[in-house]
Amino acid sequence: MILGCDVGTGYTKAVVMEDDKYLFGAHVPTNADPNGAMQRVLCAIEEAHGVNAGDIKKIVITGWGAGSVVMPHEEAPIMKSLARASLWDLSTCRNVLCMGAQQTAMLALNGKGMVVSYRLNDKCASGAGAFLEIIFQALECENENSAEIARAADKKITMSTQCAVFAESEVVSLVNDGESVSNILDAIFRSLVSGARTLSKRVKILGDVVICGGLANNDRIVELAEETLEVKLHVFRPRADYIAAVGAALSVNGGGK
Amino acid sequence: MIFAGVDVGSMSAEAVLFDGEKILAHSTIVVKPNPLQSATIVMDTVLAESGLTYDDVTYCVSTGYGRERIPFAQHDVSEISCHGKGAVWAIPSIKTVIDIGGQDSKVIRVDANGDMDDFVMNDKCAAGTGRFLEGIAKTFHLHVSDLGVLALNGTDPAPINSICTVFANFDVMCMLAEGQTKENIAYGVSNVLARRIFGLVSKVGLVEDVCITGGVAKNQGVVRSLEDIMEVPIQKLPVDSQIVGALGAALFACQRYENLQEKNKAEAN
Amino acid sequence: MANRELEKYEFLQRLDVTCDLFAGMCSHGWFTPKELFANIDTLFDDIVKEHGHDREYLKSVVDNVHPELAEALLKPKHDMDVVRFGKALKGYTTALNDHLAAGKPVVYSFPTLTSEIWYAMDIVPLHFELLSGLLSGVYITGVEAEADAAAKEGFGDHICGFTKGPIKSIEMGLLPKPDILCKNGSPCDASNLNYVYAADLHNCPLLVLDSPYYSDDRALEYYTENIKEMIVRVEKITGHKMDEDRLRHHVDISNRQLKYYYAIQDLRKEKPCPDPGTLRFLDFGSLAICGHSEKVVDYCKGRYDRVKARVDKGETFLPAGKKEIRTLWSWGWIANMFYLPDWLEEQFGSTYMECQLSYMPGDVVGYVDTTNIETMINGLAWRSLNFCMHKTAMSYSDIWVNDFVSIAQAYKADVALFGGNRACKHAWSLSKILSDVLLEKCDIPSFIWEHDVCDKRYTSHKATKAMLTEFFNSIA
Repeated sequence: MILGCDVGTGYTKAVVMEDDKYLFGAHVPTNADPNGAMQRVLCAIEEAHGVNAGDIKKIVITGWGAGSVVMPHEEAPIMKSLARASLWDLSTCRNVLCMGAQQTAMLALNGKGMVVSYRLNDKCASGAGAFLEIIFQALECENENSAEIARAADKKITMSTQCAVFAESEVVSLVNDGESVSNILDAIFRSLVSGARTLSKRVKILGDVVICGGLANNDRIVELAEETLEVKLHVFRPRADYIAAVGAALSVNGGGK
Repeated sequence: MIFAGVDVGSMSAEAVLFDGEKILAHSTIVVKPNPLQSATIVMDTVLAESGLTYDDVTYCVSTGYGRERIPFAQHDVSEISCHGKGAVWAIPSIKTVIDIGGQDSKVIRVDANGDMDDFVMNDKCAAGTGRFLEGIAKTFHLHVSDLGVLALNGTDPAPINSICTVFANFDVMCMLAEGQTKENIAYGVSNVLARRIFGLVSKVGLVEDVCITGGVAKNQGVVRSLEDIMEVPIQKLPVDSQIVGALGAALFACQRYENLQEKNKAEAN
Repeated sequence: MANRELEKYEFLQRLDVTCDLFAGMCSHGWFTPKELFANIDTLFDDIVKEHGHDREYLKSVVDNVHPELAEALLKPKHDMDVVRFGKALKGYTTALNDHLAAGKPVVYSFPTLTSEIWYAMDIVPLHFELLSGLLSGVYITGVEAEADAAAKEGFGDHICGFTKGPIKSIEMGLLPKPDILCKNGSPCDASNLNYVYAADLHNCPLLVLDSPYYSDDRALEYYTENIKEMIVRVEKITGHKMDEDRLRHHVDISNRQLKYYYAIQDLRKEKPCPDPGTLRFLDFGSLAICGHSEKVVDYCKGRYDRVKARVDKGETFLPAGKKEIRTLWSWGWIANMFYLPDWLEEQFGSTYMECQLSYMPGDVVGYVDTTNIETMINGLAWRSLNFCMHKTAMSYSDIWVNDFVSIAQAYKADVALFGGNRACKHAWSLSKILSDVLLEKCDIPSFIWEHDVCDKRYTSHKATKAMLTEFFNSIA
């Protein structure tokens, strides 16, 4: 069994794979502490699936916090992990759109599955998962039911601000003005997805697109992304946010292509 | 005669009563979602504290959010003009006013009369505004007013490279996890804010004397960082930095009233 | 013999010391910083004795050198070229010293016109931009204080680092006041602004060589006329006269220098690339003092000999076992991170093909016909129109794109790095077009990132290394 982990800026994801097959996974908040997060996610895997350290042949880590982890492990580069896992799930994949806690990345792959270009939006939080968490707090709703709530929107509002921090105040004043949570969430989701559209202009869409990252766990966001990018998006299986962890695990056999 | 100025901001609202020569009273409240409401409450407060009523007010000027719709104000003036006016009344040698508010920051170049020569504003990005400090304070589980002293006790500013408030906050969390002291982080945070402000200042040009208005002026850490990066001293205002807008509005009230009196006299003749 | 006149202006004094440091530190057979610092007093003794510098000043300058750069330059793959460059540049600084000491006119000239015309009029010109570049690349403090001083006065962030430093440096006494400024009227707002500001401030004539976008016959004729007019005006203002024999003397030198320059470019097409990339910055410096003296020819010949020897022996300077990644620098080198090509060679086997800043298209430019003054000015005008920046960054985008597709194919490049100067508006307008075309036509992935060419605080060395590491790890 191989343990592949992605220590992200928001969450740390871990998956257990055997012979390139996905068995199970778990995730915990990173809390700016890669080592603590690794311990916690290993515990989570152990408790939920009865796996212990002895069963794991190798640990491969990728993501923001990979460099800080002290336990013995191998490292895998993030872009390649995304590419590898995308091709493992969808062999015809040519683009990967990853929407995470702090950055959104769009990758292009050539016919041989090699990453040939990528662009990040990592300067501004307005397209990021971290921003969405701030908004959920302000609206007092959870990620789990947010898709359904947003789908119930009956009016299109436009946010006047680009900035995530100011958006929070704008949301509060919209609520005070009596605007429905559905309409507000819908506006926020659309604003988030527009960043992905800009990125897709900078990195050409060459074929099938896999969408992944924490934000892609949300059906409504995926629907809106399809609308705005005008392409069909394939959500990474088994879980959108486990993609890099899967990719890291796959790197052990040098394949997954 | 009593002149009144009221200023509704994004986080606080202020009212000032002015008799033509000195400030009689001033009040500050936390804003309500509705600017009219905020204006009324803060005006009620300052009048009540002075034992006065609306009838005692000769002329009132409003500024800030919703300034055109304040029913008890006879006139409204932009907050930029009011900040300039108020600052120069407080310290006549002021030529550059840096206003760091809750959700925006401005740099105003003024002439000897306190009238605006040039200005630049940032209201698009939270970095460089009070919101940035609020976020950091929250991460420290402190009140934003505690950040200044914390920063002053820092010896070695922690380097924070992110431009975005949200990401800078994340950097702060990482530093805390790595064992960096709150004092040094707060010092680094003050430097980030100061750098953003300096960028704005450079757009209109720095001319001494310089002062800071708005709530963030009370943060001594930010004042120090600004003095370091601009390499000029920041003049300390003899009035509460947060009331400068309302003070300017009151000054405009006085000025406008006097002009109207002159005009009426001339027309009568 | 000490260059005392240069000591009046710290930028020039530091430039002069840099020449001696380059020549000195790399000629003793010390190959590591450890060896160098163990013997530093010997180095100081030699330099003080031969060049008369103040020892304390020398020490302060050495303390300010980027340690990674010192390490890179000392390596055997670079060392003797660094020595030859130091000597060539010293020839220039000494000539400049004598020129200023004799009270001759102070001229600042934008480097896209090589300087033979000035030398022929008995003028040793200065070049703002290259000075900023060199000081940023060699020294930790670079031109940051001067750039901050410009920013304080309201000069925007968007002003190029090459010119932001010099904008204030004259006023700050770091450079002499100009008698004449000469600028290609190219669409580089940052440099135009600098020259206009300086002309205004110092109340001196600004001679503009109007630069056409195209480089066809009509453009060449027009540009040549501009240069001739410039010469007439300089003669009038300074009393210095154009001398045909002197011009021929310098053009002859530059023709010979360029023969080697073109030959080295050709040899880079070999696999593995026989030419270490860190020296490209010095090559550009050699173009700035094009035709100055035989020492510049020595530099270029020395470069050629070493590169040719590697090809003949089938040698590589890459670490053993490192797979070569032939890298096209589709913008140019980063002045503030002079040692970056060396780091890339060591880490990733990334070899430096060509860059927009230092590429001189030999088959297009050729050599200047020295028959008479007409042919020489015409030839120099033609070379100038095809000079880096002039041809590429200040012209139509299709020229840059087409050039780089050709280079990519001829050199069999694997990847492209577009490290763009944030101020370079023309470059940013085509960064995506260029990377798209390179991908479509040549199957080459590009990495695009932004920096300030002379200010390492904008994108730190650490951040650049992290981004490039991620890129090379992702595409390999």
